[in-house]
Amino acid sequence: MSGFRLSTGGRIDRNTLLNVRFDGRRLKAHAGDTLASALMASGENIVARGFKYHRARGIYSAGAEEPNAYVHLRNESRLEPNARATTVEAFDGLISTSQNSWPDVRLDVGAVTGYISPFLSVGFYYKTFIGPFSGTRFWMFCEGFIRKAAGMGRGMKVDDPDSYDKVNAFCDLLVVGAGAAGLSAALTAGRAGADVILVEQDFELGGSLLSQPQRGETDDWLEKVKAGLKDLPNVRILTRTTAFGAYDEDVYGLIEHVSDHLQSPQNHQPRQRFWLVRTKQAVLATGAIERPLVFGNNDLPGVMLAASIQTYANRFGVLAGQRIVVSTNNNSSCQVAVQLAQAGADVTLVDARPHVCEVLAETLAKAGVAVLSGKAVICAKGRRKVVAAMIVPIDSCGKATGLAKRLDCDVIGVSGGWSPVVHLWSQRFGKPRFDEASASFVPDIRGRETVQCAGRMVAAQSLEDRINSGKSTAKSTLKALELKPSRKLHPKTPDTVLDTGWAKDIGTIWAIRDANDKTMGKAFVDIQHDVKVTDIDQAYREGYVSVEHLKRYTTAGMAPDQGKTSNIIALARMAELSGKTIPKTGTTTFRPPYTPVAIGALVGHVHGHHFAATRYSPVHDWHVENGAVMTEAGAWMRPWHYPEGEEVLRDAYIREATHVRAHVGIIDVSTLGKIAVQGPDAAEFLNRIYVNGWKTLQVGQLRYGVMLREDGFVMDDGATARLGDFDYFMSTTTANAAKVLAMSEHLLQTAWRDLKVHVTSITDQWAAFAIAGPKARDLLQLALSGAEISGEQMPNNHFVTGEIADTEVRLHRMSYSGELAYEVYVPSGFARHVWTALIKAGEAFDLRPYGTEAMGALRIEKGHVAGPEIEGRTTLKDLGLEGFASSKKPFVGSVLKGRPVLADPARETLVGLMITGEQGALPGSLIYSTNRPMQGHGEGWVSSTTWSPALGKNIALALVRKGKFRMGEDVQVVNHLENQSLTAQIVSPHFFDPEGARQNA
Amino acid sequence: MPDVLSPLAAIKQPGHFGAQFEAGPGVTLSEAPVLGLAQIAGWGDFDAAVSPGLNTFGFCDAGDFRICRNANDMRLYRISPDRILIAAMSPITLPEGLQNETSLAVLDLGHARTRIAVEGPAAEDVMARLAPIDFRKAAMPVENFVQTGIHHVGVLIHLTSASRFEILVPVAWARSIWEIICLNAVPFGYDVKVAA
Repeated sequence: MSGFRLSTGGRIDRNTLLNVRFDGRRLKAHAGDTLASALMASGENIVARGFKYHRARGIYSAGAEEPNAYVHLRNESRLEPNARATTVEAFDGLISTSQNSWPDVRLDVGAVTGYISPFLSVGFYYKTFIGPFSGTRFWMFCEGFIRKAAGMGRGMKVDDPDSYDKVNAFCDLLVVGAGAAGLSAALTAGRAGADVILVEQDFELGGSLLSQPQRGETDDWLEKVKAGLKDLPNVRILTRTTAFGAYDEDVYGLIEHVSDHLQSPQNHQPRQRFWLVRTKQAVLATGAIERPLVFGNNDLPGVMLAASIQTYANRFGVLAGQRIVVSTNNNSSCQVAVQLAQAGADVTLVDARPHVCEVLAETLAKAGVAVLSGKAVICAKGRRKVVAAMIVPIDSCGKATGLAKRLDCDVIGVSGGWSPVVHLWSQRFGKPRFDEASASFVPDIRGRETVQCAGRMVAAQSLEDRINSGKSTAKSTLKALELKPSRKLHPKTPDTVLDTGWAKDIGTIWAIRDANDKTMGKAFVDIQHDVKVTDIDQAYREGYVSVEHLKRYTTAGMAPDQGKTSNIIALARMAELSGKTIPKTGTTTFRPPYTPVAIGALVGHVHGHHFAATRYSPVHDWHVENGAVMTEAGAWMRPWHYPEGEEVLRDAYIREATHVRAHVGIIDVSTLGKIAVQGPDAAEFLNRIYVNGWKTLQVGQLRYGVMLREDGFVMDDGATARLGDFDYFMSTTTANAAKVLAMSEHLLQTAWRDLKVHVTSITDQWAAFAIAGPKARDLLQLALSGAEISGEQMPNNHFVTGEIADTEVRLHRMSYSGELAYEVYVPSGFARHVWTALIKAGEAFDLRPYGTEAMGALRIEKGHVAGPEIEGRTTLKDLGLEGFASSKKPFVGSVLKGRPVLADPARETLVGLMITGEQGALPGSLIYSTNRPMQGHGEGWVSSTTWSPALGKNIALALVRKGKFRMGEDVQVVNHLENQSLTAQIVSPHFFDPEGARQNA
Repeated sequence: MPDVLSPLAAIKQPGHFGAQFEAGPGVTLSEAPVLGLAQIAGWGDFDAAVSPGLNTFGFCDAGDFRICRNANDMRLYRISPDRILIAAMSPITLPEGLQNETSLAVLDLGHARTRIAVEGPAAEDVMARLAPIDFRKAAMPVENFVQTGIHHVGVLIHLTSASRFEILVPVAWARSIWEIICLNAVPFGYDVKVAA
């Protein structure tokens, strides 16, 4: 194979020379080239190495089916592995390098594996690494070496500098494929007024028409259709876009390669765009892929799909070689042979069928093509490239019937027929049907539900057939869309010489073997994954006769090309071996993606900081401006602590918590869930959803409540205030707000439709600040106007409304810290104004902000439960909250909370732990009785832990088996992960001010 | 009474961002608080209960689930069979007819949402990147609205003119949503305007 650029022809811009490199060598590339055509024009024979045996590989095809020419593109952070050179558009500055080779693709050390290939047959890994060795240890040892030796491209582990776009699109008709059929369909539907999206994976419209000689009749037709489409504003044309997935409900996934044809994205454009298209109708005109014939050394550089040689010649002006042998079993190669001869090549057509029809033979002879009938190539000769083809006479099964003769050549074109690209159809509807006439898998019916198929995809043979099938499928969709076809005439269908298709008289030959049914040398079925005919044979002998097993055992069809050229050959060989027909042997089902898709394109902007949306308190910026270290709390950002000077977390939270106990502190609790419960039956609703009673709660009061899940476990707790006769203000924990609202709404819309109640989230409406500490009342008395808040006038669990800094607020008296405390509720738009006013008013009382870490320390000292205790596995009794549950009314979970397993007295219950020594316990540590072995799951676990500023000790909350009855007992507190072992005494969880004197002050 | 502080106050910077095109920015982004936003909910024959009060506002009925009703600088969105939102640029005083506690529940949400506007020739394209909604004119004519999700946050999107979408966003999520809108507007080029 010694490709070269022809002096004329091709759809390239010969005036624009591009700087394109491969392994550092400059290629002869023009605008309009692909990387593959530039490589071929520059005489690069070896562009890759085989996956397993590291055999030299050249360019094999001209499209997405390419099994060989996979390369790295670009470098550094933009390095892209496994790019198909055949679909990479050449651009100025394109850097490409070979992959899976060392030190160089031309001389690869890994090729020595070829010598041990008899030991690397199918199933090698399963047989070698399982069996005589214990477990997977030996495999683990070898894995690194094997992965290094066998493999594809190299991934990059640095951040991708480019952005990826994601877009939702809707249309009446999605046309996939802009060949003759797709273009006709789009024009027909577009002219009828349908909203059409036309998708083409190439950078040019035309499909296989681009492989026809330039300035012929087909070009004329193509230009007219393109012009017609451009005149239609209702037709969106997406080139460089691959439809990779077809999903239920007529959803299609597309990837648009927006900037892949540029050195880097320009003017803030994304690199790729992921389209999620929802269409009413779809026309799949995805074409067909030429199939190879299998013979010895069929992976040698210079062996190519026959039609791709035609494509390189006509589209890119590159002749793959001077002496070309075309080995075929069907008529489609006649046109290839004639056009290559016209381009100046010395062409021999080796046809496996006993006779070539008279008309074709005459045309071939006129073009100077030598024809050998009833023969086939049994072996390619050459070490690093094809130098000759061994040609044998064969019978109708592909077996040699005579001696092989050598024919010198530099390229062998192969054509074993064509495989319609049924992938998208199969993703929707399952397995395709084998069509005996065309010897190919096709959709079982052309039009099914909202999907129509057209062109080569349904084995339409001539150009006229393809154009007509595009029109007729479009008309079917128009009927469904209730649109009338336009009367405007389409351009005249062009005449093309030797437009035969592949189906008529096709010879059903897949592989060429000698008289003993052996291939002559390594004959690859799946070139990309180095799966040979002998591997299929061995799999069959070992009992892997199902196509699904065959695929997984041999890995045929599992490489990045997903077996586009190999699947049917593997099936055919299996059918041959088992004596079944191909339809009886079956085929695998196709799954997305059709071609590999960059994960970045699917992710779009949803990564890093934007992985999920974040919620911010209306006072967030004040916290940041005042040095708070923020932490994530569910979707929220909350101030964790406010370090002073060089303080670390521990110093800061101890200082903050100490300050609250001694003076007064303020914390932003805007993150608490807030739900408006409104309606005449609101009290009844609360009665049902909370374990405690609500009917006696008066306007102006609030009450702590606990709610269970239906299975009887504690779900959430919080306080609810009665604002009016039918108007309640419920608060939930930050973490469970959405869950509580969803459960409430669900119950109201299903089980409790009798209740006149509405629940609405008002978390965003209200900001909230907790002010806690002995001076809390003094501070608020100064800051608040319009309300009396003395201990007598405003006892615990009451609220008042008043004004702070000319802003109406509501003040709830309740305490989480155990100190005299209030919660100030402010409309969120005024939150920062009120917060700032409170900070200013608090200067006289040494008011300090405190964060969630100090808040945690304060509540642990009081033994108040939070998320670590209400974690979905604890009951009211476990947490010491059983006293809240009313026995006079049913409520959510009231039945199932009485299950024996939940009432078991041996269950873990909430206790306090007074830790011995200076080290604090780690959350999740296990509890073991003293002098018992520290094995198994223990007798409980630590749920929350802190250094207690009030007690000057390390303390913890824990759930301990029969904990209530073990007060005073010493236990071991063990964290196996951190290798920590402590001792502690079980005490009441109410460490500090158990009588509540401070909060009731 | 103090001014309402925008949830985007710290991050909304006026200027031009993203791609540059001769024709100018693809969209202009702006934000303004929704000072008057009230939810009215009811039970049973909601339409009958709410209509008299709405009539005094100038609305003929409680609307439907896609088309926004406009009257006297107020907008009415029917967000479920028995709930409506009334939005205005200034605080709303509800008429007596809507204050009947036994048949209607009124809730002030004036601080719960902010309004982000996406306006310009590429507005539809930007919106197509934000929500899986058919924003083509035929599917969503002017004055239509939808309730959907942007970045998994529940929002209400209203097409107020041929090239202007207004999005009601919960204020606590507003910053994240604004950032996502900006990211998606980058390829079109966008201006940020201070006032809506």
